[in-house]
Amino acid sequence: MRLQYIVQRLMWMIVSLIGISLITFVVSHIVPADPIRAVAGMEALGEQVEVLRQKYGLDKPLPEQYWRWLVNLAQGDLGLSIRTGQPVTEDLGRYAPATAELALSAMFLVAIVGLPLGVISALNKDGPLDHLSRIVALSGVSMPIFWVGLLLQIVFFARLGVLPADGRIDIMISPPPRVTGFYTLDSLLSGDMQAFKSVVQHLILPAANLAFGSLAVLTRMVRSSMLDVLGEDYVRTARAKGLKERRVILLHALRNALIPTTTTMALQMGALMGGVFLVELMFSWPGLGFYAMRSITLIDFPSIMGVAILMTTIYAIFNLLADLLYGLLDPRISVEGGAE
Amino acid sequence: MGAKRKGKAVGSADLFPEVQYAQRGLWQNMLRNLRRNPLAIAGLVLVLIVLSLAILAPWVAPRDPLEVDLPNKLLPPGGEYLLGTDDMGRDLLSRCIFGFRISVRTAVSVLSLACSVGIIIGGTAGYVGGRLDNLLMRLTDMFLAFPGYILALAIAGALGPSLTNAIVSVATVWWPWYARLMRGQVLSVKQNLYIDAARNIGASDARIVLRHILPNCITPLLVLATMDFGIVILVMANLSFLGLGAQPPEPELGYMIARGRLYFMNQWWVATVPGVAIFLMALGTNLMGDAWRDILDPRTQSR
Repeated sequence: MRLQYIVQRLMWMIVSLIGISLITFVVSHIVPADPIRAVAGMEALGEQVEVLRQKYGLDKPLPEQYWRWLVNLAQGDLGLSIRTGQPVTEDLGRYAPATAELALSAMFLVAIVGLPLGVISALNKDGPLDHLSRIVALSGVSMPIFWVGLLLQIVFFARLGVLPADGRIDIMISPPPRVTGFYTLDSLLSGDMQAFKSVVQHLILPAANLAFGSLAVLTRMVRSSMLDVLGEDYVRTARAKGLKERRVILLHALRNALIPTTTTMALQMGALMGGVFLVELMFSWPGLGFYAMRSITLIDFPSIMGVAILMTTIYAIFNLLADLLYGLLDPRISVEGGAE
Repeated sequence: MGAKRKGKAVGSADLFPEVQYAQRGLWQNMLRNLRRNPLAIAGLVLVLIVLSLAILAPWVAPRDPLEVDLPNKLLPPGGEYLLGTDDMGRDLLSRCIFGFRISVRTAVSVLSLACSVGIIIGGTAGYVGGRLDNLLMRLTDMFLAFPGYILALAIAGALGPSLTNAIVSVATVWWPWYARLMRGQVLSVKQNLYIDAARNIGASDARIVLRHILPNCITPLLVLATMDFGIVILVMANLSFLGLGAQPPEPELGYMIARGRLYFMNQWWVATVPGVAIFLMALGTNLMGDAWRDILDPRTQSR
């Protein structure tokens, strides 16, 4: 029963989310620092601090605070950010599109570069190209992501001066009117080509930076699943009946090799979440990671918890998606793990 | 003791052959594979170089990594300072060599913490079984169900910036992998004839666990730890870069990059050199990890 499986997974997801929120809550509240003091300033009067503390519900005992937070969460309310004074959901809504745009662009890069690279190295197994791609892939997972970002900035911004190194758009150009929150789409929708050009230029380096590690993983994955598939009987049959090699590779082999690849992509999308923090910080990209890092420095609990919950949810959804896709694309696999 | 097992002839030579053979096979396999795989040899050489530099740092580093020499600040590589100097005129080569020492030490700490917790939790779950097993494994699953990196970040942020706190926070999200592996190992080792034999001659639980189960479970965990080594080094560098790891003036590589970032427009080497150091260290372990993976399961990707 697939539906039952999905429901089960969703239930487990909710349990996990509650557990994680509890961990984040406990951890972020054992800090001795006082966020209200940090916001109100050292010279604030005791009364003012008390009022603020009440406003944010920080005067209540911890278990009650947590319970309130959970009840509010169930109603789609993540509380007020101590730093910005805005509802956290609003803040997240403002910053999330930037992150989504960055992550999707990175994933796009991973797909268009990683797929051909993986196929080529599989076809040249143990040849020079294969070794080269192996070295590139292993190098990719051995470099600290922020260092790659820095190298990109050194080469393309400091030395060559061809691409910008921070922000989403040139400061001299006004951002496009907000429709989707994706600057690329919004600038196209408003027909502002100058803005569009600037947006794309700003997107290239951070997206490449974020794509870097996943690219290595995907290339290796495509290669190994291609090799598996190329050894299958139906590929031999296709060749035996005289099909052109190109047709064999593209129609018979690649299509089947894409099954595990899709799953890897979905899992990597989750893995990108970690990298987002560093890349956004490196490139002053005003997304969730940027928001989270600033919230962490001010110990802004509601925002930290909000980002953690959102990121976790996205991550869990992509993992679930990966599992479901696997079963969907390959009918031989039963997601329930039972016997066929 | 099932009827099947009773019928099996037990040679007097060795009461517990299977697992030990399997382990000997693993090491032999590793050696054989190493000889065939030039990249793995390169990895091994890199790792050995880094390890010896890390251990011998006080003797091989040309200068004191903390020695400030302001007139000679931001010198490019080459010349008197082989890899150049940073913004305080400190020798980058010496700082990188000591950086290896710190990285190796932190990675070993993280992995031994994660391993210990994993062995205790996974071992208990596997050996005791039943409800406790269920409970512990659900807990483990929960940790695995969400992005560990984000939790590590949150914990490190909450505990406050220091190297020890960073180690604790990373270990907190790292142990579940080891717990799961350990549980699986215990479950399979528990089935062995020699465990029954030990129990039948009256060995206590503690003796069975410590003498018979633990030694036979540990190899795969050590293999996983060597494969994780490079990743831990990178994660720790990330935390330091965010200011949540080692604090100045410690020559920690991630922090050195963060600092060097200020000079990326003109003095590119200040951030590039420590980055290369991290890269070489991680590349070495990853090359070896790749060889391990070929031996252990050639078809599937680990994790």
